[in-house]
Amino acid sequence: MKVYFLKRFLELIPIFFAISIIIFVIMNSMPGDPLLQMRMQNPRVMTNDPERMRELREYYHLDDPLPVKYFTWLKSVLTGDLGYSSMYKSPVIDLIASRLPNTLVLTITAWLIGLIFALPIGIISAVKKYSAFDYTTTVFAFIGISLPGFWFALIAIIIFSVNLGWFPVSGMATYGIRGFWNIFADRLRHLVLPAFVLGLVQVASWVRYIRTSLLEVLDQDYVRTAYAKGVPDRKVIIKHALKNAMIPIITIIALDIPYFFGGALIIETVFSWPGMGRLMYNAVISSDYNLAISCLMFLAIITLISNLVADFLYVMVDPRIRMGRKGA
Amino acid sequence: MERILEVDNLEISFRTQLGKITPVDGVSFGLSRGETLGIVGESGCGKTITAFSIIKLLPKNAFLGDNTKITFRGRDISTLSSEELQKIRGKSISMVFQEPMTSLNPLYTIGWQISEVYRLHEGLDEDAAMKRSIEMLRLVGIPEPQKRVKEFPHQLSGGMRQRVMIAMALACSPELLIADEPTTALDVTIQAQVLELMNELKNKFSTATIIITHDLGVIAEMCDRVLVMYAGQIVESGDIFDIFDKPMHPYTKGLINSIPKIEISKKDQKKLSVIDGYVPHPSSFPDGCRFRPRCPTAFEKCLEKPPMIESEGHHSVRCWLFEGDDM
Repeated sequence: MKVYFLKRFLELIPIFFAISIIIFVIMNSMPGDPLLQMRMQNPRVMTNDPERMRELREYYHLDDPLPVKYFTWLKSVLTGDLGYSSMYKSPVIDLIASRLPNTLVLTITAWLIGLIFALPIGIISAVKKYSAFDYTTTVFAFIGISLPGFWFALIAIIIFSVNLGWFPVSGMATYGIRGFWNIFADRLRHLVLPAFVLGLVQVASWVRYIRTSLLEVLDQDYVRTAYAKGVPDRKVIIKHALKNAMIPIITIIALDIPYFFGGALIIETVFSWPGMGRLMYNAVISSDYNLAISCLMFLAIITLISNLVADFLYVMVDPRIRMGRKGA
Repeated sequence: MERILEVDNLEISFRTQLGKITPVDGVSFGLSRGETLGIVGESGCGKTITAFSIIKLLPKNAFLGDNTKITFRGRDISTLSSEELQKIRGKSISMVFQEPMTSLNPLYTIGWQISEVYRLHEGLDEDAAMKRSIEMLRLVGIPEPQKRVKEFPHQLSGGMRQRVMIAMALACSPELLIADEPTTALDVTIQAQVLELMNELKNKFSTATIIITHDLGVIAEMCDRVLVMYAGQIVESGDIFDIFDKPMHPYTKGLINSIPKIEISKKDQKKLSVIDGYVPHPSSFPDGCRFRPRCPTAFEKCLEKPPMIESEGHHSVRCWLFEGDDM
């Protein structure tokens, strides 16, 4: 077991470097010149003097060949220096450190909301196959899969913020609130809409996966054995069927974690949520190389971690895999 | 002897895309304590759903006929609530299934799966239930049961898994055991061991047993009485000697003749006789005698539905050839 995970973890290292090369090359092939960009942002301090421009190019190593640039970049990244954001005028690492918690709060809440809704709905529509409930969820699931998240976000704002006034339209906090519990309640109120929109968008596809997977398991011989043993229906479904059905579901739910961060990019922009998503969006829009590369690398790391988590979880659930890999 | 099971006029229908089909109809039989009844027939005869109907394990789209009555120890099964059924299943009536490879839950240890029966029906705590499970595993001949209880189904061979299934079925000493093709999926040598084990245990617990099989060898080994089923009906029933020594129905004769015999010398070797054709689908059972299209001795009368004709003793047959033999 331990050996297996160590192996899986070590495998991630070359993958990580391969991803870093791809991201670096793509970002460097983007049109535009960092110096011109800087001059556009701050015309007074930058000169037009060709000699001065050449000096600057040399100073920033802009004319180095790509492989040299990559290794220079890699060296500084590995020592914890992610560079300086030309747009926010601040070290990238500080930006990420200040935004990451906000994004984590949003995505983890959304992920949990997704699970809390998808699991029971999926289970009920599998157990009560072809019932009115099943047909209704199927219709809503298809609507959910077909319509984009930002549209839901806007509709939610119109209904719940503008018309009903239950939740704030955007942002993460109201200024001037004092007291731990007041602040907590205020944060929660701000969190509700973006987290629900981000989570519920995923519910649609998860419900379908859970339904299919559980239906397949409910047809298995060992489920019939459980009924023949006199196990009550509820226990048959939860203990015998669901645990087996969870094996493929776990993989999907864990591998979908990166999509929450990707989805956060749009949702954070719509709700002006100060998280990584908006940071990434702004970085790409304004060609802020260092920031954009760091954000993309962050997404890559999240994806790799989700893979590892999925692997870990289904090894925990399934003894066949656990035993099979014991000696590996 | 005390009658524990009475199945009267069993009719099982399914709502399907083809409309209503009735793969089993007019099946009646009974079972006394300690008795072993074999139900034999080709695949698709309705043997398995007949067995499943006794503990209401039929699929959701199945329903029983209005005149069907299944009585277990004086209680009408169809009037039981699902809680009452759960108390009977696994405790008074248990089942062993055809596929030991897939009939155990892959995610739980075999000890857990056997002890679940004790926890449900005898209210034992985990330790006590596990102890009883170890005893039961020893009883079904699994070596080192203390070690084996911690193993998962995938670590056991097919024969061992079927022993586990038997241990689970007999855990609460049920009054009725239904074994649906218990040896079909096993190797021949393992088949013999499992049959011997079942014989031994059903005598020990004096369990009434219904064995469903297409293998007449299994019937000969295990049963007191036999029902021969064809296309959802009983075509012949009798005690085991009647069936093997004096088969009456052309279908029973066909089945007995299709048992391969091992002949070494060339002159004894002859082509294995077969029953031509297939069991008809329940949506298109022939009118009159359902075996008519495949029957070598069919005549005009067979276009009418043959009744069950009682011959000597409890030997009865559904065939016009024996009309007038009625006693």
